[in-house]
Amino acid sequence: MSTLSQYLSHIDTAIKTQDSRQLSTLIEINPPNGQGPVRSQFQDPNDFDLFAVDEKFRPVVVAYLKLLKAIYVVNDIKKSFNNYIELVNTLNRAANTETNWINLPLMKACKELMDIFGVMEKSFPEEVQAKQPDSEFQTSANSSSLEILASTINNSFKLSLNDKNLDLKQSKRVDIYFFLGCLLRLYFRLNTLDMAKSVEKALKGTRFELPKFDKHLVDKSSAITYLYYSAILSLDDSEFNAAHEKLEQAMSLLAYIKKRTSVESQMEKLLVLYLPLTLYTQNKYPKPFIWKEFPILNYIYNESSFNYIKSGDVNKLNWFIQKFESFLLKKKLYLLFESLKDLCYINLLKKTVKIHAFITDSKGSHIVPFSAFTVSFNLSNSTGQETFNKQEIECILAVLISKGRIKGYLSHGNGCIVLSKTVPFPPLSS
Amino acid sequence: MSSKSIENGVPTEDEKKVIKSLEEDDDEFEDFPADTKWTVKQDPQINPDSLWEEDWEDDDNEDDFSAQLKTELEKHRS
Repeated sequence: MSTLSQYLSHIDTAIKTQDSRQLSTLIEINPPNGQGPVRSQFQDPNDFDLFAVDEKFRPVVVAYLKLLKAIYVVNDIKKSFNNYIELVNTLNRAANTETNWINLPLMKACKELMDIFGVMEKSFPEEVQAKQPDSEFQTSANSSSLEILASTINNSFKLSLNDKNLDLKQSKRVDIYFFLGCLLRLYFRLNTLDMAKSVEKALKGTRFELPKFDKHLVDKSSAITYLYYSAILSLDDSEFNAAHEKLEQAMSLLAYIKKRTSVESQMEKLLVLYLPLTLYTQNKYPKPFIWKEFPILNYIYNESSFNYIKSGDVNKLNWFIQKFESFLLKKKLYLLFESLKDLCYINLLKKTVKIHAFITDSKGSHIVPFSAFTVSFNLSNSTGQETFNKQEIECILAVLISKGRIKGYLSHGNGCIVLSKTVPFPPLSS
Repeated sequence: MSSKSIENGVPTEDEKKVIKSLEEDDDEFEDFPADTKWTVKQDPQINPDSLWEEDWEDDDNEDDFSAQLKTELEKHRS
């Protein structure tokens, strides 16, 4: 393929035969056999040249050839980015009335666009988030390159979400997690979690079937990426059960990996959130191999925070939350760790009840004075600045009873708690 | 109570590195490598159903804290 007319003829054939792979190759920036520089030298196609191509795809061809000139002739990364935005926008418009054969070229174009953005960001780090009032291709006034990129990918996502084809296999929705993963990643970079949550809302609102997170899912990488960001959104709203469910689905998909050493970084990112969420929602603790494979998790969880929770060490858990405050806030784990204090309290209460039973008549072990807990809480908090009085202990116990974490009742008059004889501390998951 | 806690002394060089890496860690979820291969069977070790220990409850009442608590509660009782 060395002339414009031959190139256009190939484009037309790819569209008519709905050949996804062929069309992808015909609009990629680094096509095989050194065709990129060759195509960049084509003259600008006129209406007569373009007559050979389906009308909807003519703007795609024009945008593509313009892009190649920016890359290979002008060698201008900012212009290349703007031209690529135009290419994806024209492709979005053309894809609107196509079936899901168009997904592959569209996904490859979105991926390349994000790669181009990455190169531009490395070259001009201060400019990518700056507003571009004079940009030729901006989608809205005063948008930064990153915002323009997110807006463009959002259009591709909406195209996928709004496909009304009832047959999922034939629908553009079949690749929705690719667009969702890209889009949420960009919204997180823009720090616009409200936008990310509105995408989630739109997804929940659809009445059409979406791909299931199971072994049949083809693009597991994108689904895992989406579930990771979606879980963080749930954490941001303190929806711990929903966040846990999403990460469990992500881990379940990740378990289909052939060689897990190749995705250690992704697995660690999931586990940073998944482990404390599972401890909180399911009261489960990971097997030791996790600590061996991920030394950082061993350090922040096994050897410190989880260990403090396990032994009911309120003081050290507080110390941990304070010391790692910025990390916990960044990961949206701060409120979860504040809630994990409940588990720490429970473990300290259990220890106190056990020792209290040992030194008193074991028949009355289910009746424990508040003062016993005051002793244990203050002992645990011996190096802390705060001290617990009976009222505070009574309050902590009342909260834990109301949350269903203790089965029993308080006797304010007698200054004691009367615990259930059968299950004083029900499993958290119940 | 825990004896391996990191606040018991000055953090080691390795610990300092961990804290630094956590603070500098990029929130972005990295793309999976382009050549990532998937199978039809799950890796049983990282399957969420088998990732957990049977029992992790702390039944150790022989540690220093428990001994101290026992002494304090006995004192308190008398």
